[in-house]
Amino acid sequence: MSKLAQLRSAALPFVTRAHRGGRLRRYVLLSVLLGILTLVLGAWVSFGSGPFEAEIRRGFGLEESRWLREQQEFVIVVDSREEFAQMSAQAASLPYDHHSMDWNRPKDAYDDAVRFVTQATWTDAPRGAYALRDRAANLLSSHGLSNNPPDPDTYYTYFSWHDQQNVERLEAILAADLTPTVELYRSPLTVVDGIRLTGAIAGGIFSLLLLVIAPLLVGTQMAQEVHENTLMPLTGTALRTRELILGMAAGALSIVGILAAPQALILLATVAAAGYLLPALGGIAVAVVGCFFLSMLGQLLGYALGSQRTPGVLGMGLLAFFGFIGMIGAAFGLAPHKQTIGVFALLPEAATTHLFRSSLLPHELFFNNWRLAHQADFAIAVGTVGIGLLGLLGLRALERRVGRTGGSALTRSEALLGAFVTTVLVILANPARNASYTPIEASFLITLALLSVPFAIFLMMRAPFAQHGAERKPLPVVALLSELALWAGLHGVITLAALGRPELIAAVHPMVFAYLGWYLLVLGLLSLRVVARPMGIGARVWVAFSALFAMFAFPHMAAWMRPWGHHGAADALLFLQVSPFLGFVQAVLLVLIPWTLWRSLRRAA
Amino acid sequence: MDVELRDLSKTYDGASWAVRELTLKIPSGSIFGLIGPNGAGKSTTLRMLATVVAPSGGELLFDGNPLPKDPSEIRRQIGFLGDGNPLYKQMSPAEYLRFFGQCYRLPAAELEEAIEDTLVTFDLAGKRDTPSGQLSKGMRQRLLIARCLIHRPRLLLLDEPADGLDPRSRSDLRAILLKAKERGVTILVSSHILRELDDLCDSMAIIQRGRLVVAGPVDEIIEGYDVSRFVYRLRLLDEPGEDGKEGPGVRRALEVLREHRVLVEKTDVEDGQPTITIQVQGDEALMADVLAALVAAKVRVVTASRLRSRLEDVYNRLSDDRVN
Repeated sequence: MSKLAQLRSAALPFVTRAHRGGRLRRYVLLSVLLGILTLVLGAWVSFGSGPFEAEIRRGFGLEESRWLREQQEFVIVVDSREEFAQMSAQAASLPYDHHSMDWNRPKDAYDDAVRFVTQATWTDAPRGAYALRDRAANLLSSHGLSNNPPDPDTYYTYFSWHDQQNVERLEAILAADLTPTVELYRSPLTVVDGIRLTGAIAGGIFSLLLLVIAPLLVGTQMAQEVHENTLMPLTGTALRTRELILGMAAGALSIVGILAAPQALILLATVAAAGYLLPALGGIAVAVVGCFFLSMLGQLLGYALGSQRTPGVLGMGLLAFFGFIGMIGAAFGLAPHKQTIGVFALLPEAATTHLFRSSLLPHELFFNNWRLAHQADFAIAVGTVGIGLLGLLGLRALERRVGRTGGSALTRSEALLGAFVTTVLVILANPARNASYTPIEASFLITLALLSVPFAIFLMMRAPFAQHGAERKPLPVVALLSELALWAGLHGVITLAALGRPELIAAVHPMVFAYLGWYLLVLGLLSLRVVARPMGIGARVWVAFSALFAMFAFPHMAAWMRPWGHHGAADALLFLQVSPFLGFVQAVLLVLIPWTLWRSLRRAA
Repeated sequence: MDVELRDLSKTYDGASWAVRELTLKIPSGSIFGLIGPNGAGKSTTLRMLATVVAPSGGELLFDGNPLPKDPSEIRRQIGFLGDGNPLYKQMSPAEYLRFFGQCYRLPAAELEEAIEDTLVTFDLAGKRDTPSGQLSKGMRQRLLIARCLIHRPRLLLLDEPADGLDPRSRSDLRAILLKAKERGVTILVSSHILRELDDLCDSMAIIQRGRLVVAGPVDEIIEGYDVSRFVYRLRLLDEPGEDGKEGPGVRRALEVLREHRVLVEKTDVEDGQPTITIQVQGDEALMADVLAALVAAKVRVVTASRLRSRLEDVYNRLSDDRVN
């Protein structure tokens, strides 16, 4: 049996289970309805004349603000036929009786236009604009309006003959003979724009399904299997552990696949009709890789926490987690900035959103800026490979956990690879990396703080499996801490190499290394303490307190990294600057925390 | 399938042993009982045999062959019911069996046939589309065992299969196991309820604290430990004696029992009727003689029920821990 056939055969029971009874029919129906809803939503947002739809269009940069348009085109835009009739009558009565105290929009627009034209006639014009300036002066005189210089204390209207928008507005006013045109509001989008917007909505729903819903379902299902102790019988069937994990994921993903298929079709159809195919295909590929990684992450979380929390609680936690990451990613993708392009490497949600947007509604940031576009493509390519590798590592870890094979979830080299990949991705994503105003030490500390979480997870995965009575097993604490130190060293080397300033290492104060070493020691001990030994309430409180206290290493490192200023002995303990007592407490805790953690790990041995 | 365990050991922590140097031979087509108190290592042994837990030491041989590196093929020949594995409450019996049949990679046509056969065999055909959560406990247990047999395994491993079953369901289970045995399936059953296994097993092993205490054919073990006694409880119909002492019927019965060299463990009164618990040092023929003598002496015996099996006696003699 080929590998693909084996995988299909492994997925069959879980897919059949997911589709049993009338479920398949219901999913297909829901999928079709979702597809129709996308089309309706696309048409509504594209061509609807309500304020909500208009706001969405403006958010995508497809429509300029109504005020700007009224100014620029010298029109009055109204929302109803009644308003249209009223405004048209008021506009027809222009120029108005100056004794009347009534205010209306046509009057206001007329006055504004008169001031604007007057200002234009009193502003020095380049030779090429003389004719237009004369036309403006003639217009005023033809309406019996004085061409006195505008009173700067009463009204101030800016005009510049060198501002194309000002000139265009003047032309519009002259063409309208000082009488604004009243227009009933309708969406300015063309059919092509509507197709693009519909495709963008489909892309958004597609991303949501693959990058939020899919890992949520996969993780919750694993949690349920663990919680209800139904996983063990499955490990005794003819499925290999890897097949079991992938098969389980396939069951949940088949539902997502059914729901996402029409969205992908709509996306590709709209792209084929009115967009760029390559970014869309790239977006789908990134979404699939991201879905794989996040599904493995969801399964790992479900497996690790399924025995401690109910699937419902865990599901809500996963939804919050993946939803939060998804929203952040979508925000970065929808509104990119040259400093945040690197985030595309770290968050597949950001990369997917960016690519789908680029295929249909490209952001102006990338217009004629090939360098930036290439940077984005590079970040996405590196990120996709990295995320894919992390997904594979997650699969390996799950395989060992579920199959209870191997001593730990990851081997030393796998953990090193994971640390390297996350380091590269985090350094790429660091917004301060390219900022000339960001100090180098800030860049280093930001990435170190971000990497603390994955490093802690990798170290937990390196700890030998905890089983009943595991407290009696000797834990290779020193060897594991050495691995963490190696990863941190790798991070330092890559950071300096990325900055292109390797000589900076010599300028670092020894106190920075002292705090860095202390932080890594505590981070490692905390990670091992959490997974390798049972935790009572007291231990939990102490671990949480220690984790909070460990964060104080960062301001200390930052303080001692400053290349300027005098470093006194008091700077070694920042709390000492508040009070001698707090300084003493800090000094005690600096020793007590690692000592207690070390003791709890070694004592059991 | 012939199964052999050679010095099989398992430690979860590198310090304490769940199973230690367990050596057993389970002949093909036999029913083998694994007996021991809770925590003796029965479940761990079965999990190692089911290849869901890797041994820390020793060797497992299936049909004389060591366990391959990829055990998925051997798992297709094993049906394993672990301790405390529940059903999927939303799945019907047919869906549940289909799910596991596919996990064992049964071809579609063969699977559908097997599902129908199994539902009938386990008397679940009438509930084939009922969600498992709505089945009675006995039905759920039957379904769990049915799941282990859906792929026609050659080795059936059952960990406490009769847990929570009523007498009728236990009797059904016994019949199902005997039927499977007729098909040549090797069956390994663990239990701490010895009466479940007494007449069912061909061979058995007693393990305690992860170590083997004794193993072999049931009859040989019983004979080897010189347990040729049965414990019975007799319920009599008798008038109460004066001052709360035994009535005339009980006195007569005790006299007859003494004549037949029967050991009286205790006399009691249950529901207003006198009872006598006795040990008969011999086979069932001797008990028949005793009963005949009691009837001849005009003792009005209402019931005579066996309390403990011989296997239980062997176990009690061998073990430090008593089991029910």
